[in-house]
Amino acid sequence: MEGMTRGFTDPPAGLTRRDGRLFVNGAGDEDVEVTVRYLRPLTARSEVVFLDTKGREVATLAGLEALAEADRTLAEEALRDRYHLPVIQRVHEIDVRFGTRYWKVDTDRGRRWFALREPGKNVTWISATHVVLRDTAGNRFEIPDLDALDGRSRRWVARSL
Amino acid sequence: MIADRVLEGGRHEELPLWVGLMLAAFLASAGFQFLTKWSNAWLGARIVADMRARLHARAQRLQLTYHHRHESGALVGRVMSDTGELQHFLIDGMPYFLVNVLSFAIIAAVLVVLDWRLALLVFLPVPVLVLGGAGFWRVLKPLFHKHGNRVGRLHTILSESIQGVQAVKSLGQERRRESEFEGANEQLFGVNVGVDRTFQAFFGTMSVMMALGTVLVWYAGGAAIIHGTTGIGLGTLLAFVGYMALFYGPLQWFSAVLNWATNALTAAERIFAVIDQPEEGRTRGVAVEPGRVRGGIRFERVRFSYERGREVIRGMDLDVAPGEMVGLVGKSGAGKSTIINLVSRFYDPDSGSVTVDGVDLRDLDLAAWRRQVGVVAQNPFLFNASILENIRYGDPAAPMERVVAAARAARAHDFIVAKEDGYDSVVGDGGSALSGGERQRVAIARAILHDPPVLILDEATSAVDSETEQQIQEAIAALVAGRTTLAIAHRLATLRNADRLVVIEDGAIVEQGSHEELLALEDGHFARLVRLQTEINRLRAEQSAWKE
Repeated sequence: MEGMTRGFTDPPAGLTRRDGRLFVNGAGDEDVEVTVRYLRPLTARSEVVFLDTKGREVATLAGLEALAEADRTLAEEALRDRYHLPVIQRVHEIDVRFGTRYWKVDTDRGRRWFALREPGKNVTWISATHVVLRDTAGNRFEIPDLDALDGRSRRWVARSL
Repeated sequence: MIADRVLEGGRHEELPLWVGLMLAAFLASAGFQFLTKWSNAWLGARIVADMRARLHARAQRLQLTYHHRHESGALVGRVMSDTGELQHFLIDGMPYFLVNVLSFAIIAAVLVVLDWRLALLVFLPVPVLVLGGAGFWRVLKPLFHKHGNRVGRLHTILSESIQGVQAVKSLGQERRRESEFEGANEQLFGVNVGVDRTFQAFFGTMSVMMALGTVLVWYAGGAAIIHGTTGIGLGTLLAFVGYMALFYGPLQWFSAVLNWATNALTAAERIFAVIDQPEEGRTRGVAVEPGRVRGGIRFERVRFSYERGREVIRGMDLDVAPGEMVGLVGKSGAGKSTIINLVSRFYDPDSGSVTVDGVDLRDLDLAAWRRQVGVVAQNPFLFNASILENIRYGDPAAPMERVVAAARAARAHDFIVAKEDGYDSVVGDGGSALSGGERQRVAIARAILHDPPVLILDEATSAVDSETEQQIQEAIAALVAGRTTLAIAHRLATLRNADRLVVIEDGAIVEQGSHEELLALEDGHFARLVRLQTEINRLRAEQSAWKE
């Protein structure tokens, strides 16, 4: 692998945010609108990639530490907007009918009901206690720490997943 | 006791004692059964889990010929169904068997103590039942083997129907698949009926024999009471009849256990038939740990055949220098893939030797050698996991920077980061969520990260369109740099970058040289193949122009 292509690139020149959109500063009018994403949004939120509006790579970084402080704050905001998932705080019930699991939960955004099918495909275990669920409509829910749930919720989850 | 001693004998004050003892006996029996079940549930599941793991491990290490000669469904059947049969028996059958053997022996002793003459009548059908059971076993065993084979066949057809659903639909062969499945299903139905009928015939015969014992006891016991000849009271006779039910109960049950045991033992035989298969590629003597090889590969007078009498490599000599890229050219069946199989040591030569840096492959530690060889195949296999896990498959601890660098070199980074879940995107069953070109580039990234000194490209670009092929060619150019590479490609133009082309015909090398050197030989094999391919391409172009 000696002399192989570099994995990560240099950080972008500078960032600005206008109307909720993120731009990489260019010369004069040549600011490039970008989106910032994690390389591993489900399993490790560390490395990031900046893509232009056509999906082309602008920069790939090992982490936001590579950015100047002001740029880092802007990138963090953009990432928060993009990736914030409802966090499940309590599980009231998981009813299984015809292979579909119907969850009734409290999240940090209020009470939610959702249906989950094919757990092999729609349940991502990030660690032994951290799990992300995707419902039949494509919405995602996160349980960052199963051990932090109350006993009844833990039992519901253990029976279902 | 209650009838003779308490009710007829007038010792009414003992009634609570005897009823209490009866209750204690029931509770003890239930407690014992619970404990036996409890421990056997763990033991049975443990044994089967271990067996499944051993079967899976063995299947990974079986010689390739085993997989070529056996249907995959049969192996799946052995790992899942046969081990399930065994578990069923170990959890449910075995404890009942032990409990019933014990109660059978105790009740037999009680019957003899109560009245040895009536006991003899009860025992009368036992030899017939034991001999009948042995005969029944002989009939049932081959039927269970047949059952296992039929289940395996059904597994194979089902998995082919699901995996090959696109091919079936595109060729309009749904009805044919249905009838193939129905045929195998009906065969399984036939075996199931045969097993159940054989079992029922035996069970029926047993019931008659046992009924005969009951009738004899009632007749002899009744006559003895009427004539008052042997001193048997009504209480003794009733106790006898009660115990007879307990005595014959286990006997009846043995026939069910026999069914289970036969099934389980047949399953065990089928499991061990796989576990006892020889492992592939044993090393001669002490295995040499090769370290990182330079990659000089040499075939010396190699002869090889998959089947006796049908030689596919005939005394081949071939030298590949470290870092050299050699293109293997030839018609289908010429022996190109066999050369690759021999280099990967999926097979050993019948005679002659294949060496790397002067060491015979048979002297190397097989796993260590395989780690030095990277393969990019026509249809690379991706696991139903994330792109990251697939790229890291050969080196799960590789740092992210190396993964990204490998993906970038393989021209895969851009399409990966464009996906919502990036490197966490799951590729689906067999990589079905990716296009052919994307699958190929993930496989190349995996090979780059694996960083093998020896590389095999087996039709790596034949399954993609021209635009994707361009990207893959770039990716491959990054991959082959500095590695010994053996490449097979039907599109001869894709081998233009090879340092040397080796033309194989009928298991032997007939020509070798650079692309230009071989083209210059007008009557040469390579020049002929190129002319043939050019002509085919021209006809195809004309045909598509005509269609438009």
